[in-house]
Amino acid sequence: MKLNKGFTLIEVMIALMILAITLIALSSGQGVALSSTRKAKLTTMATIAAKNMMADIEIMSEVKGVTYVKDLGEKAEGEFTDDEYKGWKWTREVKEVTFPLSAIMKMFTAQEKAAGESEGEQTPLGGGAEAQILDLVSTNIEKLMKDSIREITVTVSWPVKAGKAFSSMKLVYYVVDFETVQNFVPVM
Amino acid sequence: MTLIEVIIALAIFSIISVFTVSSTDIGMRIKKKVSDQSDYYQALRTILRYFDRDISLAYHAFPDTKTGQMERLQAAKTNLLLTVYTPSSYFKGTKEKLFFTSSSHQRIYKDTNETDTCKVSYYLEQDPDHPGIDNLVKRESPFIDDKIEESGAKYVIASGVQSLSFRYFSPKGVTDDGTWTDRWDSTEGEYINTFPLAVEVTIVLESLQNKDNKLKVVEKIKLLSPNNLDSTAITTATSTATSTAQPASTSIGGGSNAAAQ
Repeated sequence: MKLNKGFTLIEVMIALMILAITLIALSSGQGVALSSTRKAKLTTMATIAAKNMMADIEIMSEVKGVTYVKDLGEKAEGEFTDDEYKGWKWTREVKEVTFPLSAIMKMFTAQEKAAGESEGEQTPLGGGAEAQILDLVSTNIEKLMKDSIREITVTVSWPVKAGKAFSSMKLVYYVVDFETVQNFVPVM
Repeated sequence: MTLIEVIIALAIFSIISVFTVSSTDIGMRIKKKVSDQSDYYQALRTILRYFDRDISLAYHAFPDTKTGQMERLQAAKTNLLLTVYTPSSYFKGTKEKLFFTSSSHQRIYKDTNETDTCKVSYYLEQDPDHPGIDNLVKRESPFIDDKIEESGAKYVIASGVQSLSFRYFSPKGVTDDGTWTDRWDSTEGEYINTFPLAVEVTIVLESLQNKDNKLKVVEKIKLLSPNNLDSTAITTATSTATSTAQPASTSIGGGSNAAAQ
C-alpha cells in the first residue's frame, strides 16, 4: 500500500489563502486604528477652531454689546487662513429662536376661543377668556425669545480623500441678551 | 522527500515567515504611532481643560469705591494697622508666563480653611530628569498673598511642550474694537485694576518619541466675568487712593488694587 506523504498543492494553496486572509484582516485592523486616531485628531482640531470662532463672537459681544450678534447676518462662510487649518472651511448661521410650543398653543387657544363663543360660559373665566390669556402668554414668550435669544451654529469642515470630500462637525451656541430681557415690555 | 521538494518547502516557509515578521513589525510600528498620537492629543486636551477652567474663572475683586472701602484700606495701611499687605486679586501675564487669581480652586479635604479662590500660575520649566525637554507647570495655592511668582503646590501638566505663549485681549485700542497685547498687569500701569476680556494660549507640543512630530494649537478663552469697573470709575478710584495714601509696600498694589477685606 502506498502511503500518501506530504501535502498536495491544493492543501498548500488553501493554507496560504487562509494565511493571506488573516494577514489582510490584521493589517486592515491596523488601518482602522490609524484612521480612528486621525479622525480623533481632526475632530479635536475642529472643536478648538469652532470654539475659537465662538470665543471671537463672545469677545466682540462684550466689546460692542450683544447687538453685535444680531448684526452678524444670517449666514456667513469662509476658509481658515492658519497653516494648521489649510483647506478647512467654516460656516456660521445665526437664527432667531422660536417658542417651540407656540404653534400648538395657538391651535389650542383657537379651539378654546371657538368653544367659548359657541357654547357660552363653559370655562371658569367664561367666553374664551382662558384662551385669550394663553394666547397672550404665548405671544409674549414668543416675542421675548425672538428678541433676546439667538442660536449660533458654527460648522467646521475639513478635507478628506485628497480634498474630494469633506467631514464636518457642528457647534451650536445660544446667546441671550439680558438687557432685552430686563427691558422687555409685554404685549397686552 | 526529494531535494526539489525540500527547496520548495523552504521557499514557502521563508515567504510565510517574511510575511508574518513584516506584518508583525508594521503592526507594532502602527501601534506605537497610534499610542504616541493618542498620548499627544490626550496631553493637549488635558492642558486645554486646565487652561479653560482656570482662565475662564479668573477672579477679580476690586475695592468698593462707593463705600470708601479703598480709602479706609489705604488709611489703615498708612497707620500701620495692616502689617501684611494682601492683595485680593491680580492678573499678571507676559508672553511666556501667566500669574493670576482664580475662583477655580477645588477643596479636597472637608473643613479645610480654603475657599474657591486661589492664585494660579502657568509657565514652562526644564524637565530636571530630561535635559532638552520642557514641562508645562502649574502652580496653585489657595492662599492669595503678595508673592505672585512664588509659593503653592507645583504640578507638571504635560511634558514635551516646545513653546507656550499668551496674548491678552483689551477692549481698548484699534479704534476701540479691542486689541490683543503681549503683556498684562492689573497691579500697575495701563491695565491697572482691570482683567483682560480674554486670553489666547498658543501651545506647540512635540512628541516625546519623534521630535519632528509637532502640533500647534491656539485657543482663545474668554473670562466669564472680568468684573472690571468702567474706566472713569477706575481713574477716579486710583487718583483718590493715591492722593490720600502712601504707596503700597509691594509692587502689587500700586495703591488701588488693594484688598477688598
